[in-house]
Amino acid sequence: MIVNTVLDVEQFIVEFISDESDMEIALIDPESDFIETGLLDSFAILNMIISLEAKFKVKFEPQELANKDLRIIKSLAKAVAAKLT
Amino acid sequence: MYCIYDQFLEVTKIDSSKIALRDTDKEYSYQYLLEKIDAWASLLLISTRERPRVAVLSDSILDSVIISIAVAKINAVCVPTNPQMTSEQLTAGWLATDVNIVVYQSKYANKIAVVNISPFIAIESTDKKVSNKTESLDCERVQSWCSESDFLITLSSGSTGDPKPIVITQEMKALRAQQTSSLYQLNAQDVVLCVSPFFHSLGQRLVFVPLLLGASLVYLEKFSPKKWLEQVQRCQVSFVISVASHLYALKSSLLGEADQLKSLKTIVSSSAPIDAQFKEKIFAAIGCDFHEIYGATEVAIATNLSPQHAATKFTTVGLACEQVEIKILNDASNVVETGTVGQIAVHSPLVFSNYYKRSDLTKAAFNGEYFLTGDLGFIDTEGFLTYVGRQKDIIISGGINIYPKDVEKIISQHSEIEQVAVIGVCDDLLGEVIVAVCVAKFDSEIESDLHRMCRKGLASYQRPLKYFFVEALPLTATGKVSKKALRAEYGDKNDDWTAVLKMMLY
Repeated sequence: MIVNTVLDVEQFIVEFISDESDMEIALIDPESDFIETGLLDSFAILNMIISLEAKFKVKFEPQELANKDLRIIKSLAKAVAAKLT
Repeated sequence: MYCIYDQFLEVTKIDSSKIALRDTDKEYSYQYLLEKIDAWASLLLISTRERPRVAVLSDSILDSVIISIAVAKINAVCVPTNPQMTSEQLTAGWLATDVNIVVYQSKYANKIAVVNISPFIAIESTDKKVSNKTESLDCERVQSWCSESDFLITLSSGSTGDPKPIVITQEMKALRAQQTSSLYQLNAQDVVLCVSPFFHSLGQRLVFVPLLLGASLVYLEKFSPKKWLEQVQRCQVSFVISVASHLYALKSSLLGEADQLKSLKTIVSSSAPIDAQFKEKIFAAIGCDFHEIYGATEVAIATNLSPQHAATKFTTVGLACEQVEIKILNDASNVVETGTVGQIAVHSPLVFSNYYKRSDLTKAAFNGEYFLTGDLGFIDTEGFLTYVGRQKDIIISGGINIYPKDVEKIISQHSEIEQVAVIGVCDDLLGEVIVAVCVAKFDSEIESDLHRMCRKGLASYQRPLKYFFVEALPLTATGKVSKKALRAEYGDKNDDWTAVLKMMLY
């Protein structure tokens, strides 16, 4: 169940990044750092976090996002999914 | 010089028993109004040796109609006043316009009592001294005021809160009424609905247009969708100019009860743009013409989007009206290139005279013969004007200018959204962040949808950070959405919304 959720969240993030960057979904690596790669500008990052919160009805504390691992698509997806369980 | 009264007299002679005004359940004929107007003209004239400068403090449209035309007859000045103003505001407004007589509704007696102007004469609108027996006017005195042309002064509040008294002459008022009549091909058979208070220029226009044409005026003091629909149906209203917020409130009723609204020939939307899909639906359901206008109290109607262009130019407010010229200026007051956003400046033959005794404001309001509206917009290659927003409503987030209308346009496309207002709220990191305050029909669980729509339709910097769902948006006394009230309400709700970004980036 959690695997499916992680995949759902991951898909949401990848689609979001694809929309923002005009990069094809297939070319977006879930292991990539969406800040380091410059795929998202600061407005888009903020928007993505808020969209994730609204879509999956979760809430991040600002402190949680200081964890640099959460810049990786897959890790962020797992963190969202973990809040759902 | 007395063209307003003369025109009213002319149309009364044609059919004096015709109903001129319907207010709630009461009806008044042209003859009735004329008798009251003549009686009040006499009373006002004998009340002071000076030129009467008459403030009207009343919710009653009957009072406003009678006093304003009586004032026109004796070549005096009328200052329609918002009864919701505090006594301090009333004092400031009336001092700024040299008011020497106040005609008031009895319920506002307490407000009058503490107004600090000396000397001034207060007359209750139901005063027994007003008889139907008209005394002959002191024509010599009336003639002596011919050189003074101010007739109607609309009190608008400037950005500092100071009263900004907009002066219009009788000739100009009559010409403006004529502009509306000819633009929408109105005639004496029309029934015009007015839902705007008389202290607002739209209310004044919707009073003078029918009454100088011999048509009928239907007045609705307080707007509600139910009452609006009842009046349109009961009185067979054919013409309305409605502020956009009222039309949005009427959205489902207009479409759901279209069969009862077939008397409507023309709906004009004013004060804020209406989304194209909504216009199209109304057109399909009721079959009436739908116009959109852009203008200001200072210049009357500047542009009109007619039904013939509605299909292709629905994002615009149309073309400049006859004899009106529009240019778009940048901050350095230079004309910008086609398609570039800048301040809308209007050159119109129907321009106001001045801000009363405020030559500083009057001078600052013009670039040559062009009135500076304080609105932002752009003109396309075919000359159609697009209204972008008030200069002061611009949101600056991360140093980028964001026009609320662009955001509102996207959000309002959601089928559950009745109305939306987008504002900027102060933020430590970005200067301002965007907030959307929404009125949803049934389901307010649409935030995720709205995020998605904005992601598809807007650049990342244009998307709202927060959505709030409310029962209704706060309105100004004239029915416009009050962004000032929204900013006051939501301004302090930002408890560091951008903290997540700070954490991720810095």
